[in-house]
Amino acid sequence: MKKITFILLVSLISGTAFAQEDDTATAKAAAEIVSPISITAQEDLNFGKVANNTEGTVVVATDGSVSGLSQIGTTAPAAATFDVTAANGFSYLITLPSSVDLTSGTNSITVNNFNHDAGENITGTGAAETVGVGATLNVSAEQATGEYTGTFDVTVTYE
Amino acid sequence: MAAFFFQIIIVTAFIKISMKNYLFILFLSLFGFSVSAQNSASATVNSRATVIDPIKIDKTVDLDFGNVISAYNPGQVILSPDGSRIAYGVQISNSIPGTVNPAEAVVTHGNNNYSISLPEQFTLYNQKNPNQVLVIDQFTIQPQEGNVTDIIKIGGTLNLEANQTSGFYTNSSGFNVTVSYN
Repeated sequence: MKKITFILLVSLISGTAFAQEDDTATAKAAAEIVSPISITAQEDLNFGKVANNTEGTVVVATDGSVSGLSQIGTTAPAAATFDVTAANGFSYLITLPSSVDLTSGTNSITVNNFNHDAGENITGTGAAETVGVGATLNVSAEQATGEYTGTFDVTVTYE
Repeated sequence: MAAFFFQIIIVTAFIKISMKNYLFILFLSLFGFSVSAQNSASATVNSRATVIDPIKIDKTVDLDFGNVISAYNPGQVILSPDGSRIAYGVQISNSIPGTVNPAEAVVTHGNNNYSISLPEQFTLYNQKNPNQVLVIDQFTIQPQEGNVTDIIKIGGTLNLEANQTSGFYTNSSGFNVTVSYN
């Protein structure tokens, strides 16, 4: 008599087994935001009053002291001053013009040799710091009389 | 865990014996086992198992954008996985860059293929005022591949609002980096 043997097979998991399919790590993140540098004008640059019959210069130093052609009257020369606020520890540069012309009507007079008293390697403190700016006024031989005025820019930049 | 391969063919047959129907289910193996006229039979089945280590990722370096000088306009700083930064609209200081680090993680993959996922964006909060936020997005990856482990460097884009308030921005939680076997 024929005997049929049944073999019961159970299908097991086929394929490669993964014990752990993914993993996660956590990373922190940070950034330090620093305020932009700022500059505000305080005092204007003033060369005082001089006679026009002599060619020469009027030099205003960064501390406001004046030398060169004699001053007339009581108009007080003054250095320009600016308040610069830079973040504590951050170096910055000061950019001054090379020369500026002041005008009186159609007449002009040249101011050059701009310089400041902040020194080299200027570093911010987080608070406003005063910077003095001086320059040289060049009186020519035929300088017309008059009140000469103008403007100049001072730029500060983080390094 | 071992795994076994079996091929199974199920054959159903109706056999009519006298007045009743019987349902017979025959299990046959493709490996040559067949029901025959013998009293018993056996078959040989191959089995195979592949065991691999779980994938693993360990963070080694946190992400740090360093010092960024805000501006009157909005802007971004892009930190590349190689550690270089480019600023758009805002400024970075060459003299005081601060601590700049792309994030870094080590992935142990045992020479298997895997994928990495990062969040779409992550928010940092000003420690002095949590109402001021910075959003990091566009995470980028640079893997340094090895046979068993890869070193993954991670960069991203820091987005600044106009006049972003100064301060140290961070997040007490971190962002997740997930790796999965393909």
